[in-house]
Amino acid sequence: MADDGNPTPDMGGSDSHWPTQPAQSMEHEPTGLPEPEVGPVVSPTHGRRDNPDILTRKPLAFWDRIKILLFLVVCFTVLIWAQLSANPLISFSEAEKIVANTGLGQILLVLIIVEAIRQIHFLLSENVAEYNQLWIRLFSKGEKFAARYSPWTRYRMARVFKWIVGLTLISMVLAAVFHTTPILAFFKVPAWFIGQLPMIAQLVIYLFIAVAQFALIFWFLSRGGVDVYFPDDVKTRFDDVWGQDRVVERVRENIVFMENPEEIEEKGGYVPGGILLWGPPGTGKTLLAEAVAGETGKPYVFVDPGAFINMFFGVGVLKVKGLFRKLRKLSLRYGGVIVFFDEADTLGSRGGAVSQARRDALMEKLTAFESSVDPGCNGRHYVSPTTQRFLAQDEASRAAQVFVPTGTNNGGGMGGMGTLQALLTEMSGLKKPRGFVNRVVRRTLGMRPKPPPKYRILVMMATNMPDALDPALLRPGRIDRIYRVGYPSKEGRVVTYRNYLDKIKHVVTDEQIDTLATTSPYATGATIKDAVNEALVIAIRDGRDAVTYADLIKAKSLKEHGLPDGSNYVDRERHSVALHEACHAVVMYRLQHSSIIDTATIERRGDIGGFVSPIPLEDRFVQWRSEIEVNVMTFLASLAGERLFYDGDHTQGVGGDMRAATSLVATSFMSHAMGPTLRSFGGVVNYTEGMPFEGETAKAIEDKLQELYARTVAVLEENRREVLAVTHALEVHKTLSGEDVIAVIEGTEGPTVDGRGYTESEFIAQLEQYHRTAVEAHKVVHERPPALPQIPEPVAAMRLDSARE
Amino acid sequence: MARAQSLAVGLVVLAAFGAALSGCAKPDYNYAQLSPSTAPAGNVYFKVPQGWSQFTAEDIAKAESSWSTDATAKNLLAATAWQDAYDAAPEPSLVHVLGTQTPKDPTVFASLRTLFQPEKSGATTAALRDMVVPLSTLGSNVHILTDDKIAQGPSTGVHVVFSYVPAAGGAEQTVDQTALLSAGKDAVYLLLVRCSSECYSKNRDAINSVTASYTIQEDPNG
Repeated sequence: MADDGNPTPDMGGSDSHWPTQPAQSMEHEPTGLPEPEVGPVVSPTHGRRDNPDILTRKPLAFWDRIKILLFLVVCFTVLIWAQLSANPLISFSEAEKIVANTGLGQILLVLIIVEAIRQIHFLLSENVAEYNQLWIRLFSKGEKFAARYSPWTRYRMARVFKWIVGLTLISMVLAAVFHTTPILAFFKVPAWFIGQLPMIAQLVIYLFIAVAQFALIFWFLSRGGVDVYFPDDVKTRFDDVWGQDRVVERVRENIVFMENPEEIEEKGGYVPGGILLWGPPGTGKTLLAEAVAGETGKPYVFVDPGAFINMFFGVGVLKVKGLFRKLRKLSLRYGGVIVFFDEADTLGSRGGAVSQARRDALMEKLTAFESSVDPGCNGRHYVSPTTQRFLAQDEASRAAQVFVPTGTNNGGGMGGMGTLQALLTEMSGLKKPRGFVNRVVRRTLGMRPKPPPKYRILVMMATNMPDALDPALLRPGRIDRIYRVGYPSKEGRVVTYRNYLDKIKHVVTDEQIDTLATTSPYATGATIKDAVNEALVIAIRDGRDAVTYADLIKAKSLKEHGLPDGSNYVDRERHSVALHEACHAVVMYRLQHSSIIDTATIERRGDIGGFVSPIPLEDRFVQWRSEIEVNVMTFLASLAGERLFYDGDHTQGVGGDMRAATSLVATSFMSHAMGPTLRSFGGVVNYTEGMPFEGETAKAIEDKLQELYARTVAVLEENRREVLAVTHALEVHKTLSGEDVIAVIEGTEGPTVDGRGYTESEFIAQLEQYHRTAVEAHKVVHERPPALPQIPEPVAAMRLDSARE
Repeated sequence: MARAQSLAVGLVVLAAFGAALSGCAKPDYNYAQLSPSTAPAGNVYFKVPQGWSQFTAEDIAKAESSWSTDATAKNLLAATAWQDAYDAAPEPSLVHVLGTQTPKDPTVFASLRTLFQPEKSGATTAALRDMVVPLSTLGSNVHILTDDKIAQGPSTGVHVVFSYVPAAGGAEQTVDQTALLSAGKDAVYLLLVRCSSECYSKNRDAINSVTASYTIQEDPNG
């Protein structure tokens, strides 16, 4: 207990209390912390921590007071009992004396005496204040004496003392072993040691065998998962990567620096060491990496995604170390090396980011099954992909409040095993001195180790889940450049379509290829290859050997929207579903100018009754308020149409549309200042917690929806003929391509449907009559709905229900 | 409550000190015992006053084998399961205990020996009396002080105290001999305390305490 009476900072080694202010200073400063410089302050008389006025020690609990003594006495008694039970001649007092004369008994007795003295000391400290203070003063004097020396000196002195005590003890033990004096015993040790050498050597060999087994097992386990390619092993070139010109250009730049590092190093820079390629699956990341391998004159090391998934702890670390040893060797030998980690997300994360990745996965799930919440038509397809993504995010954030994914430390394949950490260290630890001679021998001889040579290692990683990567992996110095390998440009898609089509026999014109590329904005190399192959399958099934445009359209539709269920609606429902989709299609056609219709269908796919899917004409980054309004109106078209055509009645199928419309309006109001107020809730609170449905915000949203609803009704009233025409076409053909929808609306000839008949007034009257009868039949449930009117001079329609055949 | 606690603490501390103080004193006796695991017949216990020096079993065996060179003696030695020896002399020696000359200070010798097959038929009380000194043949040369038949559990035997002058000459010595046959009549327990008659009368109490403490615990089923 340090107490020198001065409020100086404690010099260490003493057990100071915090803060026991002197009574007088407490009067002046009854509250607050002591000044920061002062440190722990002790009172001149060292009272208790809880009450400085009491100068005696806090009394021990009864049990604490006796427990050690009791234990020792019990031990002693057990020894006595053992003596008594062993020999019938021994009396208790004799047994006590015998035990007290054994080694163990004597140790126990010494402990008992020491403990008893300690307890008497405690008793006195608890009852006599002077006695307690005397000891505190005594110790503080000792500490003051020690404080004269610096902590460093005290540490050295303590170390010398410990050495002396240790050596003395060892010499005494040795003296007892060798039956000689403690000093001489030390001189006997070397001779004894030499005598024991064979046994020591034997032990070392046993130890070596035991350790070597593990070393060997781990060595074998740490093999594999890494392939080395040398220049000319790979035939892929940058020319084979289509539609990713910008990324290719930048990656090519890296290769140039790799091949000719002096160019940048002479100017004081350094060769960028790491590239991360990320983007949606199938966009050609691995192909790009392969092209790098083909183009470069350096060795190319391919790391298998599963290489770091191990059964045992430590194997991954060994693998990483082995990999980088190999990379350094190759780098020195060939002047550079490229290492490629495919599916880098298997490298995992140490937590945090993983939960985000899980969130994204959840989001994807929600996007895929969105409509399962409300049966009806797919509420997502009427808007641009940007809006679709936005809505999906909104849904996901809402879902995340119900089910909050928690990150663990074991995310990814190698997290938690130290492998990721080893990789991080290896990636940024390349500048350490290497080699036994360099590090140990040179240092032993007093020389500074040589700095390592320049290892030119280009680390490339590819992933479609960049969020699953550990942020530390992506910091500059490890991964210097992060490139998004996005969806290919239209030119890229044209080239891709053309190249894949050129591999087969086809009769598709350049214009048609252009149209295909335009109508597949999110197609990747992989999906285009797949669509072309599917078209070839369709052609072969039809007994043809050349692929036509129609085959490609069919294949694309099949790939994009999946296989229809093949179940038919009852007539009554078929008409209402077709009308529902026709309203979406007509509003979309009339109002949306940034996108065109790709497909309109009433073929069921699971819970999706039908949909109209748009294709953006350009890949836009932001949307205008007017465009969002049009999007909302496209959603509202189903409700407005059903009510308009069914005398105010409507189906449950509008649920998804209404949800999307509300969400769009609410978000644009509360985050993008598109409503009556400017304030944004996005950055303040999570607005999804029911806020839009309260107070003025709720009213503003409702008002906006009502306004847009009225506008939608007006549009539909103006396009009554078009709605009925598209409804009829959908009822007849089930699925229409965008160009056919336009043909029906405009009364022109489409690629598969001739829409000219839909402008004839007589047929329009027939359609009106048919619809009227259907509505009447709807009101009277048991009455059969009327037969579908036949279009005059029907042109051979291309039925896009090939999958059902 | 506080008083009771203080009392308890005081008691524990006192007991602790009592135990500690007891360590200052040595026990009054050395306690000899035949370890049960090595006993062919039963356990043997006796005590000798503190200060009488004990000899290790190895020393005794070594001394005996150096003196007994003939085959019979060696066989006898082999048949001995346990033996123990004490000497009260200031300079203790096994010669005092095992030699035929009269020791000036009390000596104690105890043994347990299994009997050979031919010996078993002749194992009688009379034979036990003659076990060390042939009392029945010495006649008036020996002065019998005590001659009792004794029994300890299933074991039976004799307790004889006699004085005689050894054939080798020297001072008269008094021998306190306790010999018992095991229940199965296959082993002999022997305790021999002796010294000069003068010494004997001087140390009668100590010698009696040794003889009185001689206890055999035989397992009746064993």
